[in-house]
Amino acid sequence: MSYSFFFEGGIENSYYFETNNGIIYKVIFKPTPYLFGDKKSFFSDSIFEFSIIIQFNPNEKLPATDSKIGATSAEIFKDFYLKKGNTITIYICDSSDDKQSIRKRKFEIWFTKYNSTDFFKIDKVLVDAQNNRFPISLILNDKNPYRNEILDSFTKLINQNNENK
Amino acid sequence: METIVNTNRTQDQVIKYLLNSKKETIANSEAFSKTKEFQEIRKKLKELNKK
Repeated sequence: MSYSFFFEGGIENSYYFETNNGIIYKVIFKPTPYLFGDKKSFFSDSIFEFSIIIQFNPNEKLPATDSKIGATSAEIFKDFYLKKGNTITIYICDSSDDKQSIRKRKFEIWFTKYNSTDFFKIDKVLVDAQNNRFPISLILNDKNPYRNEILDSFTKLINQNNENK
Repeated sequence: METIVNTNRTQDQVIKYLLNSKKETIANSEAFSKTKEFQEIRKKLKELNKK
């Protein structure tokens, strides 16, 4: 069971839905063509950063759990891939409040629960100079014709630097 | 926002790029909540949920 949603579009490919508690969520697929650093790559225009944002919350606190949010996000995900089949999604958790691990775990649960094997996910960890770790996921349609090239670019991007740490 | 187009980036640059992008998205969303456009979104959601 999921909430009704609609596609607003725009530069960030925004979707909106409202929960039973009146919380409005925005789900976006923001173009991120520079991730692999090659502007001219044949798949750079298909790279999008996925985010789910609370756009409006009339309550002081968030409800503890609402399983319909995950189901709705999964439906939105599928809808976007129907619009743009060769989409490559990057998901990096917001770390501004140190809750990136919780977000990562929740995303993992959603992916496992709602993926019908249409999507392929690869998880890596980016490490900065201060040794802070940032989990990052890349998701693509299993039938993406550039699947091998994309995975190769992603793995190289991560590994070339990890080897130096 | 800074864009990184050099193929020999470090992970620090990639992290900076992605986190800045996320920060920018959140800041834009906060500003968007106060606009007339967002009120239109709320109306659309109300209509959608009536069905």
